[in-house]
Amino acid sequence: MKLLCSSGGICDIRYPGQGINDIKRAGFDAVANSFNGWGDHLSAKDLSSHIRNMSVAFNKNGIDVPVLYTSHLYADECVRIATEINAEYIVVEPFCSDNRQNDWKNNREFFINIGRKVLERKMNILLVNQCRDIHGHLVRGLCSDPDDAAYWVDELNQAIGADVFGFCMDIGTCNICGNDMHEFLQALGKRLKVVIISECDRVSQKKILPFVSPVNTNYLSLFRGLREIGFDGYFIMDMTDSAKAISAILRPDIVTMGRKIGEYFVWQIRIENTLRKYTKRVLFGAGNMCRNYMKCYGELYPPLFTCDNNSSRWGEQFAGLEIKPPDALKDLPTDCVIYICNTYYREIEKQLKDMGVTNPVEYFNDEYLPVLSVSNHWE
Amino acid sequence: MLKIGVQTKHVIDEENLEASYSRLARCGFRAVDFSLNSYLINRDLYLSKKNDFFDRSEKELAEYFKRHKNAAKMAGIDIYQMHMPYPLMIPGGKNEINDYLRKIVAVKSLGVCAELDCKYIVIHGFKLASYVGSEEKEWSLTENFLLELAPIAKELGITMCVENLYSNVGNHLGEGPCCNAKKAAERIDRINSEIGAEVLGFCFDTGHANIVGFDMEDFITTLGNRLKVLHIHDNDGIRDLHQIPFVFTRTRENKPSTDWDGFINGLKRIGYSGVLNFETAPVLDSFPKELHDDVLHLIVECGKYFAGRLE
Repeated sequence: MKLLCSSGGICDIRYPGQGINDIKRAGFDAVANSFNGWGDHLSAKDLSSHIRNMSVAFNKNGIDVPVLYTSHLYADECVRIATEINAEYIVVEPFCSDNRQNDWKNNREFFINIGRKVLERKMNILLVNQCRDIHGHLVRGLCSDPDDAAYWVDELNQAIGADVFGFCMDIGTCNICGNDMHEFLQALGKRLKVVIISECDRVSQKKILPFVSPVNTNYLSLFRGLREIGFDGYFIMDMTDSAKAISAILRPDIVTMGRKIGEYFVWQIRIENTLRKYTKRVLFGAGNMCRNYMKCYGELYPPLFTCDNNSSRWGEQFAGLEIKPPDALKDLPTDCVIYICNTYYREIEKQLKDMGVTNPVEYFNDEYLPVLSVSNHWE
Repeated sequence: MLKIGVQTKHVIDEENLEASYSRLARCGFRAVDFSLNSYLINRDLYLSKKNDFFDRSEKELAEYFKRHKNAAKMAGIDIYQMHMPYPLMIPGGKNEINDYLRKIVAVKSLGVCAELDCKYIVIHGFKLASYVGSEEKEWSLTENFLLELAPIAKELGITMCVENLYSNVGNHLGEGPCCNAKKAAERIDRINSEIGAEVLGFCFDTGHANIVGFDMEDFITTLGNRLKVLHIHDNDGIRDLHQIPFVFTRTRENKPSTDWDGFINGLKRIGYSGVLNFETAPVLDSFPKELHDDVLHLIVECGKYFAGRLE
């Protein structure tokens, strides 16, 4: 899985230099550029020229542009630019017809035509889930039903006789439409190549940096789904509207925050990779997080024991583990990892360092587990 | 013309049943959605509190509701559908209360349903996906529960209807149980075929559908004749407000922001012949008492408008 930054709201399409630096300084080495969101004041020719120049400028600064995003209107131009900059994916929005009954027929014809153009190039066309506007209320539009989305991708690939088409899942759109993202991902499976992540305000398609406003997104459902399908594509952090809203003076900080949040998401999605890395392990903490570790991972990745600072609990059995004093960690084999199962991560990490413990230390987190406790009676 | 119905909660006065049902008839209703759920309050259940209403024996319950049956009949009102109390499973709740809901409340509700000569009872599926990890696992627990009730429903000639629900994530309502029409259709057919009777059907809730932005026409068409009953109400697309249709708008053009055309088209395509039932009890809280009859009339007029378009 690779973390990308959307250049929306960060780069000025005419003078992208400062935005490129902000993105680079935040630690991103790849971006997604979009034909959308630049207003109506640019002609199609100027818009294409700016996108092309911005993409080339990213490349010159050592930043890849593996994903380009466009409405159907600029699809041809997008293919041309993608070829020049070696982009892997072009995300193209399906479009509505005057008559809904003709949506699939018209899109099919359009996408097959575009697909043929990229057939000989190492490039894929990705469809993306859309909203429909009912007098200002955004509801489920084209490809927002996961079964339809999977059907469209399969039918297009079959029609063209090659795996040219895939899917890009826009989490903001899923959010507005109230989609169960776990179910969406189950239906898409390996067709999913790109995920665009942003929070939204529930009424518009604003792209807001996750966690800066009350959480609207069901990350639990999203992460579970991505884990289960073994997602290994591009994960785009789109903070367009947050970046636009903040002062240009502070903008680099929000891009850096975006990068950190993206890394956190990737870590959460791959939490089992962290658990798999070590053959021996102990836990620090004997509370709910420890219980949740044991419920979800205790069988696959059994710890030797857990420890806790509360001396009254030493020697007690908890969730199938013996609770030992922290001093027991001094006798661990050197290749045994300590998973901190307590939200006082940094304080415990410092305690371990002060104790002279040199074993690897990792954080465990139970916010997005595969299952939660309901009631043993019902399970 | 299709009959127009409304939920009994907030409309029927327990102390004055005959006048209450007559009033509904006077306003133009010919059916009700009996709010059995109002006898066991969901807010209390979430706090692991329950009253003793369902501790009554089946005979006592039958006796209690006979008054409703008679009053409705006298007024020419058909008790077409009812709502079972909910939730029927409280995640993390005490075993004794979950067992009570499952083995006592649910079973006795079916008895009340039969006693009132009501054919359909709406049952909420369990909201457990976040706990058990997936909608499939969540449904399997709901299905086990429904299968426990199915022989009783079969014997009593009742169709249990599952409803599209929402779930809460932070301050955001998203898809909940029974929000996939294709899966719902497959599950209903499979269970009915297993039991050998139409023990399961669907209740389409327009308000819940609006919150999660369903393509209503497509959803209803996929359900087809499995759709047995309706919960018609409106909202702002964000909260579950249970208001009268056509009152919400998002633009200065003041066009409705709910896809009522899609709803009607869907019903028309499947030839829906049931009651146009409004789940709009909260409306009566927001209007002054002096306007309640006018509000009820307006609900009926909305129903007639829908019915007219379906003819």
